[in-house]
Amino acid sequence: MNVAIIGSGQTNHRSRRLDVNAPELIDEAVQAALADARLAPDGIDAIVVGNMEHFEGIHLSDLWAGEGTGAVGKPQIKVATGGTTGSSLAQAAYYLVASGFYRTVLAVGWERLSDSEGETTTGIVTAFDPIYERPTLAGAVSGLAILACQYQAKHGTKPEEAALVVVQARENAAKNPHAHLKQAVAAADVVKSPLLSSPIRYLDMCPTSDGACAVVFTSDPGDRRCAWVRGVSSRHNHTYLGDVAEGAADFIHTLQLASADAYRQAGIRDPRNDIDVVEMYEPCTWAALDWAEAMGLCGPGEAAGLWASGTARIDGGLPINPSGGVLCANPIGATGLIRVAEASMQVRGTAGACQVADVETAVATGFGGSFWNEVMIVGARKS
Amino acid sequence: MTGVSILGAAQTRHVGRRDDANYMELAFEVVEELLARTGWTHDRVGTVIGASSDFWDGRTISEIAIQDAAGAAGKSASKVSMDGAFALVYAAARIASGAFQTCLVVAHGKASEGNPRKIANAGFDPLYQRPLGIDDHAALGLQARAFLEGRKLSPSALAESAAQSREAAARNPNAHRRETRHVLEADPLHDDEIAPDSDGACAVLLGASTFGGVELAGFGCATDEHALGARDLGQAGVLPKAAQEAYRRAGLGPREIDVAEIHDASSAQTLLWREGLGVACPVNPSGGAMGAQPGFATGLVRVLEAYERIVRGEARTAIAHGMTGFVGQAHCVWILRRRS
Amino acid sequence: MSEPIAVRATPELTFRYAAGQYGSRFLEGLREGRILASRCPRCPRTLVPPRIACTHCSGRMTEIAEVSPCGTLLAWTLVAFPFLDPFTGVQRPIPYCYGMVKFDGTDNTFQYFLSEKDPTKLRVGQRVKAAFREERRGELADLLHFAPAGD
Repeated sequence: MNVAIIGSGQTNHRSRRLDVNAPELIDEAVQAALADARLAPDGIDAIVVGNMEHFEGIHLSDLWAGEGTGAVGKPQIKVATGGTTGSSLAQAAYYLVASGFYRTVLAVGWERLSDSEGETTTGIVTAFDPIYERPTLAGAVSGLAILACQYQAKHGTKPEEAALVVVQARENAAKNPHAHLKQAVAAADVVKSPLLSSPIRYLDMCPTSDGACAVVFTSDPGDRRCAWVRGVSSRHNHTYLGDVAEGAADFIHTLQLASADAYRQAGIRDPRNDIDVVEMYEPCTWAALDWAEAMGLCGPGEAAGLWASGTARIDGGLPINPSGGVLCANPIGATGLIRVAEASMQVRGTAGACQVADVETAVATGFGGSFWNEVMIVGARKS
Repeated sequence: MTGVSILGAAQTRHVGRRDDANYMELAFEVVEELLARTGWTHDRVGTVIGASSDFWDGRTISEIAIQDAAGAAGKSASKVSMDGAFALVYAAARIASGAFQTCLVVAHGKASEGNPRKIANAGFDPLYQRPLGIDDHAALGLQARAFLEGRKLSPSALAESAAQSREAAARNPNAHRRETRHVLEADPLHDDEIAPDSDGACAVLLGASTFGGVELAGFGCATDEHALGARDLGQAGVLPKAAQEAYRRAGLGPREIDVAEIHDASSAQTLLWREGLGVACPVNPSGGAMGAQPGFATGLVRVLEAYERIVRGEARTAIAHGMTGFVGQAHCVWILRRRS
Repeated sequence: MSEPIAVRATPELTFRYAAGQYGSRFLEGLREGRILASRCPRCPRTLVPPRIACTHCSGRMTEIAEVSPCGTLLAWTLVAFPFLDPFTGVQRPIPYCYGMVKFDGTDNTFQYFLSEKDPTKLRVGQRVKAAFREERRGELADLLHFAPAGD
């Protein structure tokens, strides 16, 4: 069954949204999505919702915030998978519609990271083994730093080169009313910013944001402008970080595998040329380099060139994160869904000042967990 | 009709404490047994959906720990942060969409590693309800009181229901053997009228119906208001709505159900949910959640118990019911049917 | 509108994490000054720390065996930003350095502290050795760190 995205909505992501509680925050995104989809609330048959309850300090946060998602009286299923929450929501919504179980499903993700008062890293540390991994792990930052260390050792990439990823991201974010961080930065600022976990510096890393995002999936779009789902894939990984690191015998590059699977479904044979825009889940600059290569957008060690050459610009040969990406907004439960929303906006022509010209095919990725990756491809054509 | 069937199921024996195993090992045990029973291997399982609770596990993204145990590394996989019955909906959707032929669903709950009452308190609204010190047991007490008064029943109705659950659980080798003293715990509920907190896991293998198995004929889910004061706790809430959706999808009515496995967190719920489902059949031959309540595995165990009764020829149709949230805020009803 | 109000609510939750069958053996091994691994006879795989599921076949790892404390450093990072340690509830002392080490004869990497805190002195492929504390209690902290072992 063909499934289309017919609308999306987001809040304006900020450090702290003290002016609203969670249901109100969610409602902003949901109302915007329904308006964009030209749908009344009773047009939604089921809801999939995601949020990382530890960050909120509210167990079963989805049930508490149901008045925001419109859950009362409806089927609502919670899918919370860490960083991949948003992309997992998009996948769940897709399968629930593609199965024929529901005609129209609303995917909603949100996070109020400000509620945990700066303890996001503390929360993320608890994702890993209490005996073996928590004593050393410093959240997502150090986990990604290990990846960055290996990338740098393999390719000799300089910090100034990696920094170009966030320089471009901020330039794009300045055009995106939803983005959290919009201030321009120069590569020199990045390499002088405080060290977080070598080689990752403060400006190399994504923020923590308060925000929400909602996307409407349906098998019955009528005459609405659609972004059709052309490929859906995910690859999970082992349990221990020592098993997912390069050098472990059973190392899996989950993004490479997930991309290949999604490309095959969507009929993409030459990613660099067949894809018109990428909304990549890039929690730090260094990861963007490794992952652009994993997605087949360039050869090994060549990723820095995508940004240095201007290829990744909104008006470049392969725009990457025209929205500003995760580096400019990261409300964890929503972040992966924002990638899907932005990809669908590119296809539907509703991306405003961030709009890339002539988009037929857009790819959105999600990252999280023990280095899981998810890919969703949306296109202007049904098949 | 979903086009999806259950090919096999396995559960642990549910106990108060499994100090000898972490939850990764519990999940492994049950998956290993499931594969042994069905003769399937990991490489033939297309996708994996887990059900687990981050708060219960004391870990954000607690699902990370079961990836290798469930054979999910290198596969497309996901999870549902709700009772396993809801995970089954997503799992069945993955198969019904045509994207996968088989799906492994694994749910676990290890009550012993945290404090379920304090965790439950954290599930209530931080402004208006949590400061009252309310937890899941207190909410069950409020519901039981509302139920007795609404029906004009005496508390002995709860004791009788609990006794029936106990007798059934005594015949179930997997039920949680516990000591109770019949003391008031959450007025009017006594300790033996409230479901236990158990350590346990359950795994179910789903496949496209072309593989055979027991048919997943239909399902229904519905969510209610969060605030306790926003609903009449003495009524079945959104359960009839969820049940009606299940009956409609399955193309049959409540009187055609041969047996029902209900997630009853208290003796009041055993009676109230039976009423909400509209069934006239025997309820909880396994003892129900009153016999064992391993967190988010509880609803999946109901699916397993319903499945086994059909496989053993004791029933042709069965209901399996799961819940998430307090006093039935969200319900999921499954109808299973033997293929003719 | 008047000033928005925020209410602080701290769930005080403590957990007793079971080390499990394999973890318990590993921790006993540390108390004895030994590094233990689990083995899958089928694949084959030797993995540290020991665990029930093989990363290659997801089957049951059936043996526990001692491995050498020597290994090869594959990656590292110097952690330099302040954050609350979920175990202690206070800020973890920084800076500290940890790395991914492949113990000789094993098929995966193990994550632990490094004695060297200058990342420019580290390189991929460097030989390191696990050092134990004098007094050991059967916990991960019985391991002091990985120190450079010469080539």
